[in-house]
Amino acid sequence: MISLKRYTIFSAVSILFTYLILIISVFYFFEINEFKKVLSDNRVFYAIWISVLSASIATFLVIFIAVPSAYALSRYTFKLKPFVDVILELPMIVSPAALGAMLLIFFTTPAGLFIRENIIDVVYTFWGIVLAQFFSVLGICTRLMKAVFDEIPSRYENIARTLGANAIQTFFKVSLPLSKKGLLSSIILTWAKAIGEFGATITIAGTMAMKTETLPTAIYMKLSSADIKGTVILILILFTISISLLVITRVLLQTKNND
Amino acid sequence: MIELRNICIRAGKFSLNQISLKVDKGNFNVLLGPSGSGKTLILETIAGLINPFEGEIFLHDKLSTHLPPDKRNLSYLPQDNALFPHKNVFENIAFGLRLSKLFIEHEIKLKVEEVAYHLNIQHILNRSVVNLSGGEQQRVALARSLILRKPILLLDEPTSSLHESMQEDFCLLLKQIQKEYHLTVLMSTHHKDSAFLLADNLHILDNGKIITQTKQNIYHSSLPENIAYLLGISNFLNLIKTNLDHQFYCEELQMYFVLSNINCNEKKLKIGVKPENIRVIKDEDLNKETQNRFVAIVNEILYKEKDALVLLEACETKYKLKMQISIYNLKKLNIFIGKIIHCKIKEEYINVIH
Repeated sequence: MISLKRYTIFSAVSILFTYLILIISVFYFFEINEFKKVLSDNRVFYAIWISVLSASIATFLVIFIAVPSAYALSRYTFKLKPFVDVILELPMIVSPAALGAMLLIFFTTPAGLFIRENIIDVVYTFWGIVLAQFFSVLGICTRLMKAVFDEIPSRYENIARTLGANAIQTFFKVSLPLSKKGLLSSIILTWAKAIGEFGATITIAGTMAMKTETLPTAIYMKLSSADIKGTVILILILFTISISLLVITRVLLQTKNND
Repeated sequence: MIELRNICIRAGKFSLNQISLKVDKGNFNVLLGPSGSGKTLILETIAGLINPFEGEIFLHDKLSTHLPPDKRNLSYLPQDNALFPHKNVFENIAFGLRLSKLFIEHEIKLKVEEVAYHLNIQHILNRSVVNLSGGEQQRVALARSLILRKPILLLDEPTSSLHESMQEDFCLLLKQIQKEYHLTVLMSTHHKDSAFLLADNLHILDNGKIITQTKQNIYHSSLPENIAYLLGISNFLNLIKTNLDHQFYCEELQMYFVLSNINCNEKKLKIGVKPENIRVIKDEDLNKETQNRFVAIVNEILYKEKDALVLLEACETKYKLKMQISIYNLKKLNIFIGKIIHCKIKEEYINVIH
């Protein structure tokens, strides 16, 4: 009879090998000359730059909404809370392409057209990328940050209130410092998720070289033109960026637990 | 100073209804109740951390029911101390002073050092709060509350996390601090010894009701059975009044009691006796002490530090009673398991149970 321990450990290790097979297969087509060639390509550099810039702006905007929203969801009870809670899952349950299509549809409505004409045009522009990334990660980031605030016992905030802190002082002097590392790791994960966003981005911003081409859309374009070796290099660049961020997150969480 | 009028509070499925409590200025008040009776809920309501859905709270003679916690002019020391883990000892103590923005850095330093000296924690000011012992954490949390010089101090089970040997010292420190800082203190505890050591007034919370008594009167008053048990009264006897004055028949011991202190018009009543209020009659006094006497066999002797708890079984009825006796007397009277002894209930310490 298979023991539960053996079965569960086997399952866990099989996950590692499942992804490892994919990663190793990428290296099968890796060539150093191709690597140098791709790195010296302006179009690739621009795609990396666009990806980093748009993900940074989207994450920056998300922080301003996600931090207070996560705090409210963690600490307060309000009428629309269950609906807000459900809508946070929207980017996870709706396919990215559908999310992009919904954005595109919105910007063809009178309200959307008004925004495009008078405030900012987001269809097939850089700001379309930012918007697609923003909508893709807002829910996830809020969910991650809510979990961080949930971990901070409200007794610290309570005692701060009795020591003379008002609600805003309590937030900035107690809640935020206590959740600093957790929030930082949420931000990094959000950024990593934003830089890898593809479906919604290509739907609303397209993939115009040197204009709206991001790293994930560049991968798609390389693959479409059957440039496997070039695709592999771009995958490795994206992979390196993402893995580095995950390692930083892990280190941060580790020090958080050791504090 | 603190007055609750018909307060109704709810926390999840637990609720307290129509709670009233009055705490006079400058007194050490103890809210005594079993675990889960709602003591913390009451303190948190007074501190403004929980809003009552009915009733009124008066603090410093002003209606304060809906005042936010930072405007209530009181300090609150929670059961787990809630020291800020991201600040060291000094910064924890200085937290409230810094918020007030009334003092410059030098003054803050002096005030922190003064209160730290008072509580004997001046040597740990630069340490992280995470590595402190339970007693040190307690003192730091107390210092953080005291430094603001608020006239009311709410203490939630301050001795519960301390080692038994440190509880008494901490109680004495609290009493000394209360006097020196002229504080009105309301402390919750389920520990009757701490309560009696500190309290000017006892507020006993049980089954959602508060009974207020001075500690001198508590053992002469009529008490509910749960509260009596909380106060260490663990022997309960049912009595039936006879036609003779002050004479009662005890069902459990099948004997007559003469209780001249009890004025009762009821036909039946229940009394409670603490184990230390049952005493052994010496052989030479058997002829003298004939009243309220019963014969029992020693079933078990449980030794404590200075006393022993003797489990008795009435010879006539097999009814079980607990008696507390000093180890000195235990030896002197040669009490051992299986011995048949004559015992007497100290009439002056009997509580009527209702």
